[in-house]
Amino acid sequence: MATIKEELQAAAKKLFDDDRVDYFVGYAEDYGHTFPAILAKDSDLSRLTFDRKSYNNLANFLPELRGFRVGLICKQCEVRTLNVLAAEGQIERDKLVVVGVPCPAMVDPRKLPQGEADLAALDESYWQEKCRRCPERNTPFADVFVGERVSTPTPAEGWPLLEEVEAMSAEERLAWWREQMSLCIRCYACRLACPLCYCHQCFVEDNKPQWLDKSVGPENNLHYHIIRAIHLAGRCIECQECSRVCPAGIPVDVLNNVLSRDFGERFGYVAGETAETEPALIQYERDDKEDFIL
Amino acid sequence: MAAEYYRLSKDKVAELFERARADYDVVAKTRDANGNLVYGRPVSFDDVAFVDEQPPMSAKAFALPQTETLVRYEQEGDKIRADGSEAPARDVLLFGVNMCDAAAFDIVDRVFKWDYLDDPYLGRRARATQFALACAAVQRDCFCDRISYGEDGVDAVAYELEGAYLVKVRTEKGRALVERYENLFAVEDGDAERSIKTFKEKAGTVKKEPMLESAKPALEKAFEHADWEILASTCIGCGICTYVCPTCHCFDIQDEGGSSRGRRLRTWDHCTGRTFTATAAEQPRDRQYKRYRQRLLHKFWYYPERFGPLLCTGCGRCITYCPVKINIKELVEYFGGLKDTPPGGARHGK
Repeated sequence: MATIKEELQAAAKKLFDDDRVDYFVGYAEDYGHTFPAILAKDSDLSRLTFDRKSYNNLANFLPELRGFRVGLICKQCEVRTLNVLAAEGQIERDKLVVVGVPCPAMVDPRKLPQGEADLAALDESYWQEKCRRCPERNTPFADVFVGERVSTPTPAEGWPLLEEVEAMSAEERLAWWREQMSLCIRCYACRLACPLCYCHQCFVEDNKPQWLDKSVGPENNLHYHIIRAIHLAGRCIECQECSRVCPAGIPVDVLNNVLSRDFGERFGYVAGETAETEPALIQYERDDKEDFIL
Repeated sequence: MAAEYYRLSKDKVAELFERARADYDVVAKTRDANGNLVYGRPVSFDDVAFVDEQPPMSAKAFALPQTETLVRYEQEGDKIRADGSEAPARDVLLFGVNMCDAAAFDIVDRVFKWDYLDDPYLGRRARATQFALACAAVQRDCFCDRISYGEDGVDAVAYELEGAYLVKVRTEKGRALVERYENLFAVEDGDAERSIKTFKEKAGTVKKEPMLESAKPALEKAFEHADWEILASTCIGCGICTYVCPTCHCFDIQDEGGSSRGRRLRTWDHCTGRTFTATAAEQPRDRQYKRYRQRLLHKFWYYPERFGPLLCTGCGRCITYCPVKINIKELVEYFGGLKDTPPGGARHGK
């Protein structure tokens, strides 16, 4: 039986041979890492892979490739992202070939055991939180599906870290956030790794007027993170890229999770749940709860 | 000064640390609230992490803090008060710093004293003593064995031997450290350089050809190479590689406050970002791959052209912490003609 690698490489080759795409966006394996790669017709496809370190949300590369026909490997994270991007008019669906894959669940890089480890054997305790919550491991609307479909375990309930933070007293919580924020170096990798932070100019980049001081410090840093979280209200699809890429190890997505949970509990809304899901902020139902409006 | 060699018994290290704290502001590897390794101020000797692993953030902040006030001003009626930046109150001892971090200071110094003498930076450098600890094993992603920097700028470096450290003292500052606590150090009487060579062979840190310096002639012809675009377009333009880098030193100057009180400050900035030099005009590089190319070529072409050494010590942080794992070493080898295959296989072939 062909491995997923071989099938992927064959699928990518076929897309190029059939002249269906200009670029193929997937994951390559080289120098001990798995990382996103943008491949063209003449590229060496033999490094293409899909494994448990295929972390990046590949939809993040679509703006760079606007105007081109793109083959994109889509796991559930990309699927929900594409749904949001489509609802917001950000992608040209006819130029996109969605390459579906069975997702094996990603291993949390911070929980990776030291040294050589058999990644395929690592159980749930090593997974990224999003993978424990994943509703569907097989890409639902793939134009091309690669590999064998897998069964999806029952998604885990709850938001463990968020619940831990919420269990703190207000003073403890503020102290915890201050400590986290004091570690932030404002590289903005959380924003740039986020496929839904696609503004050409982020508010932090404005300098006339300058909304946010460029100096780092707990207050300035928190200011940035809170505004970013609010800009993602009802949009974040919980791919956790913001937290994964943070060089300071700040669980940035806890802020987004508060809003995701509230949208779910109050409005039964899940961002990017289906291709038909409309943006949350343009929807209105007569029985929407308004008890939080001052 | 000629190098001097001493032996520091392992059971004396705790005493050295404690006594040094009376005389220096001692910075060493320790863990922060999230368990990350950092160069910080351990509460006690037990909190010092003796590991080869590099902390995500290099030691450069002890010479070039991420944010520093250059001038603080205040107006009250007719009176205007302005205070310049503050020199450090105490001597700093970087205790057990990685060689790739320690050697970086000497490289960055050249910029800060090239034409204009940068007092805040040079002031902090003058007060800092670097007592490095050589790695006993190659770390993930690092490639110091491919860059020919040596021990320049390192005041003293310890090599771990059986039961003791062999301490090589290279500068007056290093000698001052040893003299201060001389009863802890014994003069090394063996063939020290031979022991160091054996240590490096075991650690795998002996230099290996081809050195990355040799990529420069080909890099100079590769500016328009067709594959920059496809290989560097996965760059998301965050500043992680530059912020964790021990040698990246670009900064921005900003004013905060108002007409009657405020401050002028310096903050880190990075050529890979969309707003780099936007204060003056605009980011002149309109695509992300061009911004990435600028970082690489600055390190391996423009900087050595002007100052001699590469603007890189091979610490590998920019690979480890890159969200998309762009590998600067692989790209230098590819565009510098040392390797035929592009990392990850991406090429345009046009």
